[in-house]
Amino acid sequence: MTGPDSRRRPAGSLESEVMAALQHAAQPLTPAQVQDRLTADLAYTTVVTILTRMHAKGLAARSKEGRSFRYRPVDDETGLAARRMHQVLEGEPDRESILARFVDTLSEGDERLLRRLLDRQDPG
Amino acid sequence: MTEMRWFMDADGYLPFAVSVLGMLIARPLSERLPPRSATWLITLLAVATAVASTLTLLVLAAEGVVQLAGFATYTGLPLDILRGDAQTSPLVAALASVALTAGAAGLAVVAVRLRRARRASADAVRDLPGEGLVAVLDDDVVDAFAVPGRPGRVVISTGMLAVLDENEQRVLLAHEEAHLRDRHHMFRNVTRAAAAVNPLLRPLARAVVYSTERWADERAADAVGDRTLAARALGRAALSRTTQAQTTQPRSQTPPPDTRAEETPAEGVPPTALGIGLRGPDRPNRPGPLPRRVRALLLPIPHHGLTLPLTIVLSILAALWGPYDLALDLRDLIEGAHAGQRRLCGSAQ
Repeated sequence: MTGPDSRRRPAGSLESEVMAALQHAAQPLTPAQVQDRLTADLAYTTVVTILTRMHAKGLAARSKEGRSFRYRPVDDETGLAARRMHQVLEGEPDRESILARFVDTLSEGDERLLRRLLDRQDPG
Repeated sequence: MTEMRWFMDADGYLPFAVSVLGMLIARPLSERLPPRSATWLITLLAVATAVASTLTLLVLAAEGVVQLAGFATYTGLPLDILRGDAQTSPLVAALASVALTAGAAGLAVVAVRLRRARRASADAVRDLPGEGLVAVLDDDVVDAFAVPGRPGRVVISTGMLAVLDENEQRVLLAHEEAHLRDRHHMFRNVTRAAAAVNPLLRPLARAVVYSTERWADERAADAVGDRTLAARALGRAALSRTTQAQTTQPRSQTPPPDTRAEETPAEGVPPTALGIGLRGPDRPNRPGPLPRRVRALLLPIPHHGLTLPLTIVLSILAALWGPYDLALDLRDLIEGAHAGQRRLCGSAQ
């Protein structure tokens, strides 16, 4: 059920908007959070319906948190993409020129040093 | 000038002297200048030195060619003058030709590798889910990186998102966005190519990898308005990643930290745990790039001194003077031979 102001659109386009919202979110979203992130003005129940349908189709995974579910995107290609990314990352001798990684695994010495640096900063 | 024949004009050594100087100052440059200036200056130094050393080798090789009997026959110039007045010994010229060939081969190899890596990453980017800048991969490994391209993408694993709070996630995103926006991979590629031509420049190429990371760190700190927060985000991500690598793979089976096996893929280690090898051969007892990045964020931003930039500009000029002076010598040699030829012709008539 859509709100009175919202234009009618095909169900598929709503679904892909919800998918985009899930994919851009940093963490799994509750239906209310999805609703906030959509450009379309949809009723809460509509969002829940779309999410439930996406879950049934295997497009979204959900986990129970408190009284509501949190949804995250499932993409069949994601696993493949991840594997290919790792191949690129590890297989190329010049990967540093291509992929700028946020952090690398630390050596034992670096790990100790880093912990000392951060502890000094924030003893909490 | 016979005593110089085993040698060459001393100016010819300038680009190589500057390369060695670059080796020594690469690290201080990347740490003591603001990261953006450091990146630009190191890149300029590497490119100028690579060009200067290549030109030097070319002129030296050319001085060898003009001393060949075939050159004298072909041009009709007197061989005894060409050989007698040349300041480069045939041995030096031969070595220069070998070095020149090696440099060209090195450059070709790196160019092919970069192209291949580029294509592989472009393919991988096409497979990424979503349309926007950020692609979240459903993967427990704590990882995040930027992939340049048209358009570039930022890849973040769900494992990484799970260990950072919302503010730290903003740091991560701003950091990776900065890599793409400021085109850091261009600086890395250019210095990598310079180091392929002249292996003495490798420390400069490594310094640019570091200074571009610092550049992105400072951009991220700017974006969130808090350098300590940026330091914490980096630290938390790195420590989580390391802890994860240790639990996936007991420490006893990973290579001891000091051997830093560069290209040896250890069996059974999950692929991303090999990130240990990515830092390049830093000296074992020195802190690696990550603690240095975190420390840099906790300290004030370095001021723009004048000493280091001036040193670099002077070094670039010195490096370029080398091949220029050698080329003048070569011109004098040929002109001298022409003059000698005219004298010979004159006396024959």
